[in-house]
Amino acid sequence: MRLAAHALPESTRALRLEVRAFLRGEVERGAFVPAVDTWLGGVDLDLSRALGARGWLGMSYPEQYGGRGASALDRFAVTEELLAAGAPVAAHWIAERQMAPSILKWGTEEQKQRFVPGIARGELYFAIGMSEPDTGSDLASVRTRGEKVDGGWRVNGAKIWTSGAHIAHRMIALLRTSPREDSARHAGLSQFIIDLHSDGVEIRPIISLDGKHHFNEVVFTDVFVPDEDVLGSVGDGWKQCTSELAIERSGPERVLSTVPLLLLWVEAIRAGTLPDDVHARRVLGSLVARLFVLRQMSLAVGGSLASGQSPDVEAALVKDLGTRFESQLTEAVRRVVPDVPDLAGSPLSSMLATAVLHAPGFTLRGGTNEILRGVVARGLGVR
Amino acid sequence: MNASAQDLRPLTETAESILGAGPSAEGVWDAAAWAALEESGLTTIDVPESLGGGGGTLREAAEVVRVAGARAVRVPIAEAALVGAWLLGAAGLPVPSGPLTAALDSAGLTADASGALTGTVRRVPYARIASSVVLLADGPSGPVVVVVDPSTAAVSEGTNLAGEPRDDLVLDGVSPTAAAAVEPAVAAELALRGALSRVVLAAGAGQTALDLVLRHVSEREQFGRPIAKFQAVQQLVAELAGEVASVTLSAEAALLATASGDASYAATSVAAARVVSADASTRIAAIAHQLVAGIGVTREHALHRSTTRLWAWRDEGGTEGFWADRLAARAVDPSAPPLWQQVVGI
Repeated sequence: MRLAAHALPESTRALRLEVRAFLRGEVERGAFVPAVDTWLGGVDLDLSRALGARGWLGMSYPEQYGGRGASALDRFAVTEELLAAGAPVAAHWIAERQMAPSILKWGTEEQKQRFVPGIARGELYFAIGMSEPDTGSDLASVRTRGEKVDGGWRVNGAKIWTSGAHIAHRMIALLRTSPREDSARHAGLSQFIIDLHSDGVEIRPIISLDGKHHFNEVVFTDVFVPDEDVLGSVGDGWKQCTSELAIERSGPERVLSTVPLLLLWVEAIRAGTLPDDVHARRVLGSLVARLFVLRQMSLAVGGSLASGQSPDVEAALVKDLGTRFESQLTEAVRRVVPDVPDLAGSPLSSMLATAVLHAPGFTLRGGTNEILRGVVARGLGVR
Repeated sequence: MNASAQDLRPLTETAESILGAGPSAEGVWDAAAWAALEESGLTTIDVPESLGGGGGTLREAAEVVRVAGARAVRVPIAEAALVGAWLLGAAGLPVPSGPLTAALDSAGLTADASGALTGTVRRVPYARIASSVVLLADGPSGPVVVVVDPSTAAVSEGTNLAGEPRDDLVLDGVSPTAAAAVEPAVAAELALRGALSRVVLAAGAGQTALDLVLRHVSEREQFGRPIAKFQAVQQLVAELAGEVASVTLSAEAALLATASGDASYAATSVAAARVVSADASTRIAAIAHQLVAGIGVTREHALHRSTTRLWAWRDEGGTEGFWADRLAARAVDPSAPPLWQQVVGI
């Protein structure tokens, strides 16, 4: 286990200020209202396209695929600003964070040209197809299968908890392509880039406990996927899929999902509209301290990834701490402010309400915290 | 810029070989360890060579302190290397030889026009064994760094939760052995240095607690197998590792920020590290004792050397609450940059 402190390079300073100024302008002109957990719940295609047009999506992709060849740490700074501003970024989030990097790593030249530029423009959206009705933490137990047919694969089964499938164009799905053997559970899995508009794809909304539509069940009935949409090598799905995990788990969104609530609370104290007392300050100071250090930990993992390492254990550790903080922040603010959480209430009430209602998901999505601690324990040689 | 562990390895190994393989024996203080540290120049690493120091970096000085924290060594190395030697350097005073310590907070100490010192300085680490104590006094025209021979003051002995000497020094017209005026900013920086020293020590002690736990859970058998095989134990071990990593990373980030020269970001960074490391120390001690169980709460097992220090250090150099309040005060100060800018430094 090794996390080294990083300072973001000077080059990110101007970039960060540019992004911050743009987002402030968007808020001022009423383009969006800052909210919490916007990388799950905030869909705004105009904003996604606007970010793409400014070159702020896919910054670290190579230039020939629509990126800037920038450092992953440049992307880190942009991502932080988007989350702190509470900007609605869900439409492009998964494609930009995870799917384009996977395609760039494992895909064919043709796939890179076909998909990556659209992702960088903020126009082409992807969903993740990992979990299934009977497959949660035990990912190797997936049963949705791909059978070889002439010119491609026939897919049958179902994926679940698929964030944003109803707006996504494609899904990268982990499928079983040869029968499961207990002696080699991770063999026989493959990744496919499935067109969600194909015949036989049914997207069923799953309404979250807050009444909102973020998740879906995606059912495949004899869906034909052409050979050219296989990602990487048939049979290497497990390796490919798990290589994304440090990227999926370590980003600033595993710390900052509820930070807009903290920032709004502090602005209200500064403006004199919410109480400033000894108790509030003690709570606030503790939250600021934890935010500061968790952000540094996330940055340390980001720096490690940017230098080509695979800090899987460190990413799991930081995600465990960071996602618990997201809920702790919510409850700490709730206990101090006079506002009652209410989706239809004041900006602070509404953020509080969303944060409370979304909190259970923070420590589930992307690997439950118990699974993450298992990863950490194994990394320490205890397991 | 990374705080690379690689660059520090030779220094780490030197400090580890000097300070021994495990926590030092009981006793008020470890004179042999101090002599070895001083002889190797490890007590004055980041003091300019012109003042008799090693001309090294804060990061290097802190690494020795971290190792001392991990080994639970009974010497005032954190006070000497991160506080006293730094104060002397800031004042342009040479480092005296012999056991050196410093007060993390000497508020209330005054120097009159003749230089004579009056006031009570509380909880000075290892004052009873030091030959020189570095203090910051309020002089007639601003702060003054002074060196005091504790035998010229009244020493009232006390200890912290770990039994480390924390002695009150009562000065009544005492003449310092050396004195020099410093910039007013030194007073604020002193508080940060003191806080930083506790974070660095805690990083060492936390790692030792984790190491002891890892050994215990793999050796201790119950129900016919090592307790490490139980998921409940694995979950706690992982949580413990997370808390230890929080302290370590917060220390590194604070050292990086302190060395960067951005004073206001450094202040935020140290205060945040101080609060998080204190909170994490609480969790580390609790989890470690839960896992090591009965034997861990005795003096027969080494764990107490780390956990009692974690409990003591989390409230030295300003309590956890003091530093939380300081972060909050700046967060809500309308004349300060918005909170998010304070967090990211831009």
